[in-house]
Amino acid sequence: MFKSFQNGILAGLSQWRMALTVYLFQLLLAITLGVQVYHVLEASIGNSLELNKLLGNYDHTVIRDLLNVHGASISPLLGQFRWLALAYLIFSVFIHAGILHAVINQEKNWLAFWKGGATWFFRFFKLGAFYLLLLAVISAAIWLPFLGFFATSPEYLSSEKISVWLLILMIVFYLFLLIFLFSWSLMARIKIIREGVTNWTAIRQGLFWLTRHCFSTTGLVALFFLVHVLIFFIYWEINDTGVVSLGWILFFMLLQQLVAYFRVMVRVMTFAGVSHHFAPNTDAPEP
Amino acid sequence: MKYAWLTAIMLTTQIAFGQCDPFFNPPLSERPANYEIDLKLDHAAKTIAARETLTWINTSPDTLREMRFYMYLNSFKNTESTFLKGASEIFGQDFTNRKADEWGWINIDSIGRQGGRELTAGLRYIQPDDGNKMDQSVLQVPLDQPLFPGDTLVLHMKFTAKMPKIIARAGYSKDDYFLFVHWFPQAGVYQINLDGKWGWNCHQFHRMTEFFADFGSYDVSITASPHLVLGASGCLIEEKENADGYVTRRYHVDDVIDFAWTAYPYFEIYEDTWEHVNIRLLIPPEHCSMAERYIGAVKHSLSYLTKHVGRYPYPTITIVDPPLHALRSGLMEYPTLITVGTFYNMPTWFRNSEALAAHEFAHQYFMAMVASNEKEEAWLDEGFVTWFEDRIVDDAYGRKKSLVDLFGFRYDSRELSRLEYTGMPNPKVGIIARPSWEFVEARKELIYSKTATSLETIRNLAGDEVMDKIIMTYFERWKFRHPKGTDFLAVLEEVSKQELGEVMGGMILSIFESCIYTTDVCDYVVGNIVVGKISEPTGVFDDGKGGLTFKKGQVTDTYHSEVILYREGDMVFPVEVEITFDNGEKIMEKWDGLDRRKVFEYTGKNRVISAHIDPMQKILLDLDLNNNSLTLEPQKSPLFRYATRAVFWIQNVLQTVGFLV
Ligand SMILES: [Zn+2]
Repeated sequence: MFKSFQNGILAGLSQWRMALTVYLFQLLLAITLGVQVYHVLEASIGNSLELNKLLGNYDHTVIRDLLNVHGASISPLLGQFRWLALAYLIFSVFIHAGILHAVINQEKNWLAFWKGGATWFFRFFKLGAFYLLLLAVISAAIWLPFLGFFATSPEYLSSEKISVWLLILMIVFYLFLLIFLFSWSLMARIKIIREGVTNWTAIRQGLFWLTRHCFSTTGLVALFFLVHVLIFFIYWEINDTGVVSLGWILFFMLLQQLVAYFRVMVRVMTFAGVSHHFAPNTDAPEP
Repeated sequence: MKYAWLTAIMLTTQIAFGQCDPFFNPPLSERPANYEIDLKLDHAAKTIAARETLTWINTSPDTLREMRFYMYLNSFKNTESTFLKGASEIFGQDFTNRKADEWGWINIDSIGRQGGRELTAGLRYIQPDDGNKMDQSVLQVPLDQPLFPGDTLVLHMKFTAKMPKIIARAGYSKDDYFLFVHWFPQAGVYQINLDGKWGWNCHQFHRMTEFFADFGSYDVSITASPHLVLGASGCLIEEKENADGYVTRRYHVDDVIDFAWTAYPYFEIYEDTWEHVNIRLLIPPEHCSMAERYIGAVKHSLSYLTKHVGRYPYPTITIVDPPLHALRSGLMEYPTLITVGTFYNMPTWFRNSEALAAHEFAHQYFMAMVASNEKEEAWLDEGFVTWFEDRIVDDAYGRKKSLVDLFGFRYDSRELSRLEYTGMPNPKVGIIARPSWEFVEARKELIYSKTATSLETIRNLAGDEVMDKIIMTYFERWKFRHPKGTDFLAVLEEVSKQELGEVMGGMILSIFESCIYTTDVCDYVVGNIVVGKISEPTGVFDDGKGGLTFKKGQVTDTYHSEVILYREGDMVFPVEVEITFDNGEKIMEKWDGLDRRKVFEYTGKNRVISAHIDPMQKILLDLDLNNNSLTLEPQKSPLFRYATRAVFWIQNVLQTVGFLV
């Protein structure tokens, strides 16, 4: 597992150009909305002296007054954002197919990325739809009954401590489940690229392999997930300093973009790590 | 340990008597309504059987032929009571599927006048507010002989009460948890009402109302199973074990308007003192990490209110923190006993429980001592208490971060109160000064938040010292009595005129009146700043010899600046306007705030670059503080900071949404 982790990191780093492409694409999409955020803020409170209070990290009164009075001009942005996220979900199918193709074949050129994306898009699109549906069904099956129980649990349980710990346990379990689903969908895609099997076979064999190597695989993905958490923690800690100068703001922008780039990079690393872990010589399922 | 004073004691004997002396001599109030109650709790059946002796003095000039009693537990008897009628849930709690033993009621089994006749046969439920014949929350007791002015009436009664499963604080929860409020027949108030006439003030129990009663002494003996840990108003003065193993505990408290008590086997007791006050916290084991925080909040409230309002005379305060399954009994005030609320492992960056403790404690001043009528003029207690809650919490935990402080997201109590009011979809939905049952919506935003924001605004205008004097005078004059809104206004007018002069004092009064008695709103706006260079005269001019001459004037280096201000709200405030020039010079203008449009003009070598109405933000009632200023040289960096942050979070969401595909 640690060897795959290490291998994933190295392979991911070597694919920095591909990560950069994906990052730039994300940035471009985000900027289209970011520019509008700038203009809406400028039009609503751009000439107010209260704006200076936002140089500090946050000011509840300024923000809430802004939302109270100018909420109508901000809500269309949220509508646009929803559509953008949906569109990106579809782009992701292409992008992830490209990354996986390049990582599995250990190719570092642009062509491998575009070729992979184009080759596997439609099959991965269907596969993605299956896993999203599965996620929705599993989430509903877990959370609806649990939350129903949780709301009335103080009536039945001897202490509210138990309710709280049950909730924490459920969240951990759900996180594990997300990691499991992520690993499974990744296995299936790797299987398809390596062996060209049908979606259904890939799903079946992916699950089969994953159940046999459940802890090492989810552990590996969890390690990469922890890298995300660590990056965010560092970001929060630095971000919450009372800031006043433009230089600091530029520094934060750089920091934010570094975090965003690293998140893409970690995704590539995860793909590479799991691909290494799920090496061809171990993936043959028993008949 | 930071709080070395904190000691947790699980007690078999629940308090060391003698530390707590509840007797006031001379009395602090007139004590027209005094109760001696001796009861036994059957915790399995959720019932109490009691004997009550009421000693009641007719302090009015009228001869009375009847008494009226609150019988509020009957509001939980069935769905037809005025309290429950027309609703299927109360405070988010569905009550339509209640089992037979989950309803509550109270009944006087017998009542008689000392030395006089049995009165039981004449008992009759009346409905003075809405005529709902099914409502049994007010009982009329016709007297056999008239009660003359100044006479004392002694009534002996036996009553039975069945506690409901908790609705609106009163009742039981699992594991023998009980909160006993509205639990005994309590006399209404015979007083001069808002119409200026003497009469009974004994309203039915409405959903949004609480309590209003006369001052007196309470001596309550509670016999209960020894496994129950008790907490009650006042002091425990006697405790004895009976032959059947039950324990009788006698509590006494003077000069209060009500008596509440609680029982639960699993309470842990924390005790502390502040000057002469015993602080007693009853808390379930899973909440013990909150003990220091609750006691700290109440101690801070004690010292803050003593400094800014007056002395807390009682020797004790009991804080009851219910377990989560009984949270609906939390967050309420009773004389010398408050209920609070929290969850297991409440994080330290969220100080809602401390704020609630400060709020409920502040009710000891406004409700328990200054006993205004919560049913008819709730702003006099809830508004004042919210205002002090904001002040106490911000003083204790810091401005701009007292309530929430997590990863840079932070705000304080005062901001929250203001925003609850200014963020209303319609801040003109109604006036504050209405009986609680007339509120269909926005009761909290108006009664609590708008009143608190109004009081803070006039404090900013009058100054801390004058405001303290107003509140201290009001407290000294009206403690242990029943003031009305007009009584507070009279003190406000008297002190502010005396301290600030006729004009300013009158203005403060009229501002506060419009806050409470009108729906007017406040919004001052800097509309525009127009700057131009002055040109010398140009055109054709008489030359003085009968002819015309053409002159082309030059553009000079002198600027003419106009600052255009608007009053968009209905309320009128005198405001300060800070004008800043391009050389950094600042001047403070005064505007009476009266006209709908006001222009300040400046001519000189320097031009105006910004204007700021009320730069110290004294007028918190202003609906939009962002439009109170305008600059011609705006900073772009905050916009940039927020836009880049938006970009960052959009990137993060995009990166996350596709994790499965
Ligand atoms: Zn309150």
